[in-house]
Amino acid sequence: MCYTDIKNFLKVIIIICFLIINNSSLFSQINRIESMGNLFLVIEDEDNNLNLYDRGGNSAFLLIDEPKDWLKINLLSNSGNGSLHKTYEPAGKNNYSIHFEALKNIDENQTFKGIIDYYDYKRKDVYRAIQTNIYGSGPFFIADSTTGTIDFYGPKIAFEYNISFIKDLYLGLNFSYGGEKGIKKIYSKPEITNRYISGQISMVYQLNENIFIGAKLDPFYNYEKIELVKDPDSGTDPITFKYRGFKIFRKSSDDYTRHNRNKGFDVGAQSSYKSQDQSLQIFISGSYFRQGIEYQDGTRDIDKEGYWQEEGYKGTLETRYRLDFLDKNLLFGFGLYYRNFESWSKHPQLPIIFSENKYNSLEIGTGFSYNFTDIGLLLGIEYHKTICDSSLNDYLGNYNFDGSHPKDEIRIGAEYKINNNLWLRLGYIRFSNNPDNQLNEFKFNHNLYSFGASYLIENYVKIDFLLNYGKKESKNLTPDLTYKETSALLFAKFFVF
Amino acid sequence: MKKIIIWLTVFLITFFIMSCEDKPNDVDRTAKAKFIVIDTSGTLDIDQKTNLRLFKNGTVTFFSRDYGESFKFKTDENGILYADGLLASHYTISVNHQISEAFSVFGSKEKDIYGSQNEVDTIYLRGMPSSAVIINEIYAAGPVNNVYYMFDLFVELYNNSDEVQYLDGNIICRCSKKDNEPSGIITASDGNTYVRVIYAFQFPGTPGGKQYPIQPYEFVVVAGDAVDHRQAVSTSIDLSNAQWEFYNKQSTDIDVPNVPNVENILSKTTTDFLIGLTNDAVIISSGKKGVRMEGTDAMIDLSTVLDGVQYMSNPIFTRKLDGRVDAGTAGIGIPSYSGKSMERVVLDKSNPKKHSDTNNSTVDFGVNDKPTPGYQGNPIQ
Repeated sequence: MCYTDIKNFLKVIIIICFLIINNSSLFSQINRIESMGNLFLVIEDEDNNLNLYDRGGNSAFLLIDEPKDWLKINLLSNSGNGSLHKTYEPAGKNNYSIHFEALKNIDENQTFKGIIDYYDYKRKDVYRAIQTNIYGSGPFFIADSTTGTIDFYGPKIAFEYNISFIKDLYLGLNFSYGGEKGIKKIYSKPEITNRYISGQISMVYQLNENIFIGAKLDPFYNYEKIELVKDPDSGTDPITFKYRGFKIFRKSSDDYTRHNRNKGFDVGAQSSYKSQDQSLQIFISGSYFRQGIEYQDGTRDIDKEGYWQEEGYKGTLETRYRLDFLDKNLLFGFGLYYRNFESWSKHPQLPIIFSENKYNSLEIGTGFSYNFTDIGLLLGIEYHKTICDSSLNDYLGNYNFDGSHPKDEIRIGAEYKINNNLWLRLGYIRFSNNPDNQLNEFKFNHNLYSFGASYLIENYVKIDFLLNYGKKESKNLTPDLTYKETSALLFAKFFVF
Repeated sequence: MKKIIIWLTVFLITFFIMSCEDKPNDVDRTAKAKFIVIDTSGTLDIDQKTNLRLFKNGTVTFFSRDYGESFKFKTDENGILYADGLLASHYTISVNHQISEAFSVFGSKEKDIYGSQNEVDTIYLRGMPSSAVIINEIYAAGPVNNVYYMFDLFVELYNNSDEVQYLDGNIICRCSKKDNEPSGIITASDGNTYVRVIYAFQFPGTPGGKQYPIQPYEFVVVAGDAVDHRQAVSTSIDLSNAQWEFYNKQSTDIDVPNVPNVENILSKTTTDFLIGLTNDAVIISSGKKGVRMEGTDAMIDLSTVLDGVQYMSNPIFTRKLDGRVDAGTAGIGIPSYSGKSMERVVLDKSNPKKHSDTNNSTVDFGVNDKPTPGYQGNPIQ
């Protein structure tokens, strides 16, 4: 392929990326796995190892995980529309982002990675909610009186640094800063300002050739400011509904400013094992996390509005075993994920609890993949089952529940190698949410279809294209509700630096 | 680079240390309080055991301004009230007990209640003649517009009885409050209790006179300006049929020829009757003791107050009236330039002519999407 052909090919893909109205799930670097139906347990990939970096996010392992220098560029477009969503979730979205990421091995003992990201995320037709996160961030939320589109946009910068002072001991550090603005264009025109600061201090020790152990501390600080002011054109006051949990609310019609200060950390330990013949990989981790949000109101004089705190434990066990005794191309995967969270909220001045919330879940995932090397076809399947228990006691709102939310997920994926430069991929995920009857939740199924392609140019540039189409639907309701989303991602990785 | 690493490490560890708070033991909606309610007006019977006039088996209302929620409890045979299951909040606790068509006993108290409070607090009741003439509707928010037009305000009076009443010499006032006072109801240098006012507009005639009747269950609209305001702003209202008009000859106020005036009587007031769009208090006085002046401060004797309404779009604002005139708040949530009004509700659906009057505007008033001058709307609470 000549230079002009490559250029034209890139042009076409970029245009497709930006024109296809659609979008996908979360932004991720592991496009190959995503395009194969998220088979994270059973597909081996240079970015999907069961090690302390790919699985544990431990910056101290970066030096070992990334031996080559590279530059990555991502262009993402995604969109969604539909009626099947929670009350305060958007009825659609349009999201565009551009992402640059580069890794440089400074010397044999030091690695540096830098990230620059910019995005524009439109949440369409959001009913009243004007906070960045309504669900899962405490019971103190505010709303206005209109349904409208909120446009969030902003840059993010981050870096990771990894050094080894002593043989087999690695230290890591990362830091990221994101600034975000959210604007609702219709009355009451709230302006939302977010600052996201997070970091990590970590270490890894190599016990022997097969085993690594690590530990990390991830503190973070997020600040959100929501401002509602009198409409300068009409003189109309903004109407603000202020919630403390369920049912209880106060309504005001004055200039209003809310400050949400969210601080927390996650501290954990990890270990990975890889057998000598590399047929067996195991990753295990456990962590404790805690976060608190202090809610304050006021434009000039600031009053406390409440405090919310969440803490809990997370545990993960993942293993991959290549069944050499049966067939070297057969790979078995297994994962176990445990989460136990507890949260509570309290009165701004008094030592009195407003609400308490408990949540624990256990997810079990298993599956296998088979590589038909003679025809260049890789196939895989995974099944994930999640069982949950949750409870809420909202003393202030006089509301409580005990609920369970079982979920099932089947993932199927395939990759076909056309030649040494070109790969095509397909994936399918079926997600079933079994509702909790007491909570009167929607029963719905979610089908996600993905397509991907990779083109490798002279071992210097790898171009990935990922297209997702998802449809969530519930047939138990009148009328039937659906939510469709699509995404397109263009990804290029350059090994030339 | 090393310096950057050290600073970042310090920064990250600082956040780690800062991120925690202890979980309290007590939960909300379990606060308790105990009160004894005693009548000081001499109206209720004397209890033989205590020799006190106890308010027995009567209803006491707890209103939380923080949450806009009311709780009702009954006193027992000993005049003791046990309140439990309360939200942790500041409460206005009020009693308004009608003895006869013309006489009530009432009392109120402000108190923070949280946790279990074992000591017994006291609420004292005093007597007050029930007023037949009440403020039925206030429209002050202004119409929906973008030129800051808010001159279409009105105060609607209502005869809440089946007897003819008279407006002769009655005074409609806008209340005020000084920063260092808990409310605008104060004790003056003569030892009597007054309501501070900033405007006082009086009906013609002598207090007690019978020249200006208001028929049983009749509405009387007193307009800021009795004109069709729709000609200025299309979303406004027609007040050309108002029976009365506020007028101040010391201002450039419009004086509509065919509409009688309720005239300013304070020399310091040089504007028309203009009240806060979303936050203010209005009273009507019989006018029998006139207006007391202390320097430039104007006051109305509390005993002459027929009715009063405290309104605020947001209940956390500072009040001008307390439970002696109005234990609650009307107009919560009404934005400026919204075209909404606040109006009394009918609590007893079997007697729709009788409008709610418990001296608690939170209970007595609702919100109309559109003003209803001269007739009763369907206000939503």
